[in-house]
Amino acid sequence: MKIGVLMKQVPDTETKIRIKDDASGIVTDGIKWVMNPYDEYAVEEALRIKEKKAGSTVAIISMGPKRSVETIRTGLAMGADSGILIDDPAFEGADCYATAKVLAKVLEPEKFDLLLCGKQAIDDDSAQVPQTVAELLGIPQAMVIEKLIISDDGKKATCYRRVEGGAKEVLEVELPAIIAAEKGLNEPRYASLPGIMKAKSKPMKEVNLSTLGLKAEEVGAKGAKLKVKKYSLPADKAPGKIVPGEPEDAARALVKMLREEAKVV
Amino acid sequence: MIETAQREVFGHIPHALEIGHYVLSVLAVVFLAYGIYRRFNIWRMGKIEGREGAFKPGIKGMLEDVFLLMESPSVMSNYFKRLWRFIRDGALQLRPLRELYPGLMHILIFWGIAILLVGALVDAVDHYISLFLSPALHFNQGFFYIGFSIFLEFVGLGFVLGPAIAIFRRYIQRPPRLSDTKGEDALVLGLLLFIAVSGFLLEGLGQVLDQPAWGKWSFVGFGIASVLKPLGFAGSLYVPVWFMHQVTALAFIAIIPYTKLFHIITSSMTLYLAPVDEAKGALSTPFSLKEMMEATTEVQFKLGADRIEDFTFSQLVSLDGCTRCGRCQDNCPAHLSERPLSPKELIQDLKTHMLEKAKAISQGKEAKPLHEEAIKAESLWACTTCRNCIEHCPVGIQHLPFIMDLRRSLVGEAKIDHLQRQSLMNTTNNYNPWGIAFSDRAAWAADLKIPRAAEGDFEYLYFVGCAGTYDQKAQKIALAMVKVMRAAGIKFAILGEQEKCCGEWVRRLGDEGLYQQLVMDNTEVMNQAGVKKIITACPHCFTTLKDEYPTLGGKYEVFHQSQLVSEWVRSGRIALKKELDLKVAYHDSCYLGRYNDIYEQPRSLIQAIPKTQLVEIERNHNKSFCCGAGGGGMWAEFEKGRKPSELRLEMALKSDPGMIVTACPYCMTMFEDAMKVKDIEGKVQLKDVVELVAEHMAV
Ligand SMILES: Cc1cc2nc3c(=O)[nH]c(=O)nc-3n(C[C@H](O)[C@H](O)[C@H](O)COP(=O)(O)OP(=O)(O)OC[C@H]3O[C@@H](n4cnc5c(N)ncnc54)[C@H](O)[C@@H]3O)c2cc1C
Ligand code: SF4
Ligand code: SF4
Repeated sequence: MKIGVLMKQVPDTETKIRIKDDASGIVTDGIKWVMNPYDEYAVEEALRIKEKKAGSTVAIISMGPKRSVETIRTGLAMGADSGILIDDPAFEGADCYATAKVLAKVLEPEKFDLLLCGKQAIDDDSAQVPQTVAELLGIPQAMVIEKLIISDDGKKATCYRRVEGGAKEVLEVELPAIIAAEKGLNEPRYASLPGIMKAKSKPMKEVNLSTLGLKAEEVGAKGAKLKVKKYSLPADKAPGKIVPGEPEDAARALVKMLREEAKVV
Repeated sequence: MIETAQREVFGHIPHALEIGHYVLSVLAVVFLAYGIYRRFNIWRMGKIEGREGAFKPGIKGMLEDVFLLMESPSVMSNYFKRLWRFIRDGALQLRPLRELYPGLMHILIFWGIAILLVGALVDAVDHYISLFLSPALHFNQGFFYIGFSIFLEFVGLGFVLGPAIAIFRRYIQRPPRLSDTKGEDALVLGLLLFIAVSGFLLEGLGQVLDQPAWGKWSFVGFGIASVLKPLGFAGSLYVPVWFMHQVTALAFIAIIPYTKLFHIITSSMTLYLAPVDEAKGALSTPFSLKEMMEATTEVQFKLGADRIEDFTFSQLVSLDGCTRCGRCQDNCPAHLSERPLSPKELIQDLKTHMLEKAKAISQGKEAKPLHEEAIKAESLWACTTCRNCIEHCPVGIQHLPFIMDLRRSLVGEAKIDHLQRQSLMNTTNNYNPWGIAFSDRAAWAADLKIPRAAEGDFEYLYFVGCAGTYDQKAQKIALAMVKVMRAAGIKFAILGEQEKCCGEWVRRLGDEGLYQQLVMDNTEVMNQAGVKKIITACPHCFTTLKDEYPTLGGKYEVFHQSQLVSEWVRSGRIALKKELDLKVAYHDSCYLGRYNDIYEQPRSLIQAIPKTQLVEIERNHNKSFCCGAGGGGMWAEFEKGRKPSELRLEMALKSDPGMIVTACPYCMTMFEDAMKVKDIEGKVQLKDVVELVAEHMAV
């Protein structure tokens, strides 16, 4: 099977986000960039399928600035075979649609049997790109998947996901399709040194606006349907309080606080 | 009368039996030599410095290897130190004697055999020189003979007593650590006892026949003779008993390489071959990440060991050196907290695997894999790297290098669990195991105006470590140390946001790649800032910075804070005036104590506080019981067994302290958690020794 994994490089979850002075975006220096955690599940799942199906290959595809190469290499160190970096100044300022458009353009000629991705990128938290890519490519999609079974002939995928109320939904899709990983799909493996060393010599393709044959007006901020007006940080949360003492006294004090200070009861 | 005292060698023995005895002796030696040769070939499966590729079987390959070994530094370096250790711990038995009861038992057998062998040798030499050279050279007679006989009589008694005690201990007392008793134990002990008893019997029977005037000097034999003589037929027993005594003694020699008796040879070798480095804690450096990253072509390398052949010759010898005494296991926190690890079983399992592998190779078959089949990963992860096994092994077996190389190969294949992966990923991304933002690395010192090393002008770099940086309770240790350093008036700086995890636990977890990356980053910053002397808050940072960074380009003079503070208190730079009327129990950290022999400095600080009474916890100093945090244990979860920290807390509470004092932030965290579980928080205080100093300084 030829498997493609869509991967986005995002700021580490511990990053202290700072907003630019003009509120047009976030300050990116001092940020540690990592693989979107949901995409780690996607890479891992791809590798597990590859291990089961002889002759399979896994490619990591990412649109982003040059630094994204390092994160693609992390995927290669985990065991993927090749990488595609989609990078061009013209792609800057893309929204989910503009991103999906470029991704679809790259994916189309590659003819992957299966596309895996994360259910959402933890930076913008949109959960839009995979669905849009599926639409543009005209292939089925299954989102927020916790368990995935590929049929022996590699033509069909059975996908499990949780829906409201704790029930399980089972989807069956024809391949090729795009499937988005939810936490719990698997335990991603660790990219340790032997993997990192092997990754150094694995093929990495770079594509840009001209190699894709796209026009600058179609992509990036210009091609976006959505404009971010401004960024702002959420208000600081007031610090929590611990009510000390024996349970009975503490409960009494708590009720008093809820009545008099918080005025909620 | 005494002047003529002597004993005739081969007296009363028919000539045919004498010849038979020589034939059997030759046979015994052939058996012995063949056994050693076979085993030597098995050890050669291991790596030998200077040998490319796998070992070549046969005598020629063996000779080549012997020559390589004679040139190899791990065999020939520090020759005199090794020899001295061999004499002290092996010949004089000082190491086994650290445990008095089994130590005495062993010394009775060991010295029994050794001296009686010398006795036999003296007999033999005397016999042959007077036979073949000149009767005038005959020396074993007269006063010498009598004196020597009396001496051997006492040794012989010990030699009866030794195996008797061993039998009593193994089969009647049955301590848990001898739970794996095998058939060969009975064989060997029975054989020893038989040789000892038949020796005395023979002596008695000899006296019945000869009735020498000087007989009473061999008092045991004399006693036996006086009991047996009235029986009349006793004399006729002499020849059969002699024969049986000889046969068992020769059998003893012949079976050495095929039974646990082999330890006479292999334990001696192990003791000699064990490393003699000053830096006890340093793990091997299998490659240089820096060179590998700079290389333009793909570098072939192997991470750790996943086959028995990946260990060294010396390591394989040491597997045979294990006597199954169980001392390691009796001191192992993982074993004592019922986790799935016994260092003794680990060594035995490796040994069994080594023999199976050798057999499989000789039959051209596939051997079962080392990981999971021979050694379970869960045992490897259960180790806290506390070093107690090595500290107490009487023959100098180094368990940790085995465990570390096995872990390295597991990590290389990404066979780690999600918690381990998480802490390694956290450290990759944020340079600390908790994954707290690296940009907050200096937040603990926000208002303290401590100069940064990059700005120059400092004598000591204070390397705070991840715990002192991010852990709320450990932050207090760092803050206290800042107070103490300021009071002592020394010039210090911190790395601030540029400090990264020292990597100690990363390396012990088996991730050599990430470890070396951290070392490269830290040394680059420290070398640039011109760091010469480092003070660490944590014994783990201390060990790796001091003992392991030098091989990777970071050479500094490194101190643990308790060392310097105790020096400042001793010299009067810091005066401890405030009283503390309390019983204070001190817990030895493994990495401060066993790894670095720092036992007294932290204690001296507690004792320097007026009115404070220092109390010892059971298992203290080099026997200290690990808190469970080392070797990655801090970030691991175990399904099986109890928490070592809770066991340790129970031990500490037995000494009824008002305060428990540690000198390691890991121990502190572990105690803190255990105290929460035991619900004694607030009833017994918990402090680092430097906090104690900061609170009782006269300012
Ligand atoms: C449950 C949910 C509901 C939402 N509902 C709404 C709504 O109703 N209206 C609204 O306006 N917004 C909604 N949002 C937010 C929203 O849609 C965005 O702001 C956005 O469009 C940014 O996309 P992203 O980069 O986060 O990519 P996502 O679409 O979140 O990314 C998902 C996956 O796509 C792949 N991917 C994304 N970018 C790349 C790339 N550059 N290269 C390669 N692969 C990539 C990765 O596999 C990634 O894991 C919702 C979000 C969530 C989580
Ligand atoms: S280092 Fe400690 S935990 Fe590990 S095997 Fe030895 S005694 Fe047990
Ligand atoms: S490893 Fe050492 S301490 Fe442990 S059983 Fe063997 S000889 Fe005894």
